[in-house]
Amino acid sequence: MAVVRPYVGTPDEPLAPGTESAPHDSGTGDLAAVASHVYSFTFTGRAGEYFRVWIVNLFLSVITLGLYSPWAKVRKKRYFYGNTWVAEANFDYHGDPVAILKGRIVAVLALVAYNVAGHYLPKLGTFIVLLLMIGAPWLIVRSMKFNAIYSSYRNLRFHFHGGYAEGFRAIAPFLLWPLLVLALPTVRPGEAPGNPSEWAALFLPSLPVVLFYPYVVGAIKRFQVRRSAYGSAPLDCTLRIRPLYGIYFFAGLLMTVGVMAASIVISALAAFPAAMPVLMTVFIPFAYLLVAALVFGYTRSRVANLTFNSSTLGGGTRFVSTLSARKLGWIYFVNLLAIVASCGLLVPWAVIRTAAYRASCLRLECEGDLEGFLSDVAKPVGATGEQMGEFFDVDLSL
Amino acid sequence: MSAGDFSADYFDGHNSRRRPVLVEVAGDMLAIRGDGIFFDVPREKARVLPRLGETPLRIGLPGGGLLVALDFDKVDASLGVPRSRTLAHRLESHTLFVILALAAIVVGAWFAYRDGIPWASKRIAERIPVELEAQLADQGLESLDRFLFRKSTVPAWRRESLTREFTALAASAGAPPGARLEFRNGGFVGANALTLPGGLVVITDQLTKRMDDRRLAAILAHELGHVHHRHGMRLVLDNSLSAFLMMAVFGDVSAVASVAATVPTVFVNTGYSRDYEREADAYALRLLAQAGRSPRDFVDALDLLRPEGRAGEAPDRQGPRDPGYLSTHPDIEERMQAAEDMIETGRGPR
Repeated sequence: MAVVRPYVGTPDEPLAPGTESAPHDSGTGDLAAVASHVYSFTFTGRAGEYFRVWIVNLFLSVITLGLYSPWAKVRKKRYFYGNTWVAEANFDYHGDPVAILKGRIVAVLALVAYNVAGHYLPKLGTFIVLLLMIGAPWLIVRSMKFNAIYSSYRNLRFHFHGGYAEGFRAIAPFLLWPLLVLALPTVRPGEAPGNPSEWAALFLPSLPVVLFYPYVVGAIKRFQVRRSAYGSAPLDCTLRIRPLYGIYFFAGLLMTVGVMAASIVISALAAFPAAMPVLMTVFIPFAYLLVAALVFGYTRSRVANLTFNSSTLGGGTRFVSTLSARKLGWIYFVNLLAIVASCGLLVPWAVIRTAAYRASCLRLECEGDLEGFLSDVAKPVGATGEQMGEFFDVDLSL
Repeated sequence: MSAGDFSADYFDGHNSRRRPVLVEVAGDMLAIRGDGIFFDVPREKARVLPRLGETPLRIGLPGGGLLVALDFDKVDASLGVPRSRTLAHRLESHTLFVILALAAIVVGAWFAYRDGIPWASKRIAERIPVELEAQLADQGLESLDRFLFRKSTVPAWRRESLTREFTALAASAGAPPGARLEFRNGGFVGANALTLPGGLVVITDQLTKRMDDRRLAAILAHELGHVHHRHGMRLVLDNSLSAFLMMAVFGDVSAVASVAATVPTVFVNTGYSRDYEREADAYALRLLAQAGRSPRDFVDALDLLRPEGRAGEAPDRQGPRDPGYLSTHPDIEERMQAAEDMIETGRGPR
């Protein structure tokens, strides 16, 4: 597979900035007329090459009983960032594996402590749940900060300036779930709920999660983009929550229709006992993967398009994302079949082609020349951010 | 321009501007030259980041500048990277190592599947209190009632006689006090018997219509084998452990790919359940002999369980035979043959 690498400057063959993209972009004639420059994202990772990275990562992680996994994570991220290009430059990831290892050790110790303590002091469970609720926004902010600070483009780091309060507001509805579980009477396991109040105790706590899921997804994305910056250039995001309700409502509908269609076929086939083995072992997994792929493809593409299309960089540069739900759903479906059929060995191929498609649908549009614009707005930010990062140098994003 | 020179993009770290430069290697110094750029850097101060596939090389300069270059050979020749930092890259570029790593992972996964997981789940199951298991069984039956089963229409006299058979066998097997028998209309699972963790045995109406009490008792002996070996609990643990391992291995992948990881677990788990069926078959034969019944009853019962229950017909005329790796039970012919062999030799495996 031949990959034409994006131009990395050689003084002998100068290439004007922006030539890579604008004139070749089909179907965006009217947009190109408004924006003077269009810079498409490209992904140049190759499945064969990534397979080597992946298998070595896996092998070293297994033989070190997982201790190598932070190094594997960094190497994987570096591969994906390094192969993502826009405007003739690629991204880079600088995450420190030791920080990630520390984060994972802390998480494992916390889990062990929770289980041991829960065994001897059952009341402690409530306390820990409350502690986790208070800590959750902090964990989210920390990992966003870690990811931003250790990502760079053109030798300038990204930053994340979000705070606890805004993170808390974004996920607040989800915190109702453990609160309701604690407040409502418990239903003894193994007993069917008898009266309405027991039914309420069973289903009420998960209600806010279902009702506010689109809100939380949107609020977290908006929070993340709006409080991020490329060097000194702030990103902004005007994502509205209402369209997300439409997306997730339709996704729920899609899932219901898919499950119903599959059930009809299953009950029709169940009339033939000879078809049972094929039904149980081929058709049901197949239908499951198809419905999952379509629902994922739909929500992922629509949410990504909405988020990017409402985001700007430094006030003057817009993101444009044109992912197609059908294409992404089909990519996911083929990926899932390939992964299942290969017992997982085609995972590298699947993630590379997904990344390539996603990058090919993303571009930057800029009124002026991006090179000039960026160098005006994006300056390095003083070391405070990074010192903060080093002070709590623990990645808990897992 | 000497042989060691290479071209690169220079990013000074104060500004996002990309500046094409030519890096000349002259003795211990790197001379960086471009449009408006003219400075030298001591060679040992330039830090080449470890290579990763064909992604451009990144060379950190003192003062925060960065060179990005694609000419791997020339950069290697003029700068070089400490060997210790390139281990991962050297392993990745070594085709033989990649093949060996692949082989090691495939073989390792096979042994984990065949020996590691069953071993671990057996050890864990032995430590789980029976009362906890019984709770799981109640929950399991409740959800089966909701989605699969309907109320049984087996007449009371038949239930009583079967329950008597079950109690007698359970007593002779030394089954835990929680062991009990339930009747349900099996819906689309048809003639079937199943054991939930904690010793809860369910037989379907369709099964009671297939055979008389003597043969059904043999089936109950098989189910008591599941109870004795705690197969229900072990299967739950097998499922969780294999799902956990697959998540650990493929967990770095996106959420979408982890959907795929749930499907192989179905195949893996049906493999475990087939092994447990064989174990329960052997147990049933021993229990029947011990309870003073004929182990032949079990072979007869299996014969009646064949599709359509037609004995003596050529196997290939009984419709498609399920491929072994896809089915939860071993082939009935195979189980009957194994049972005959065990009766003849007078002992069961393990």
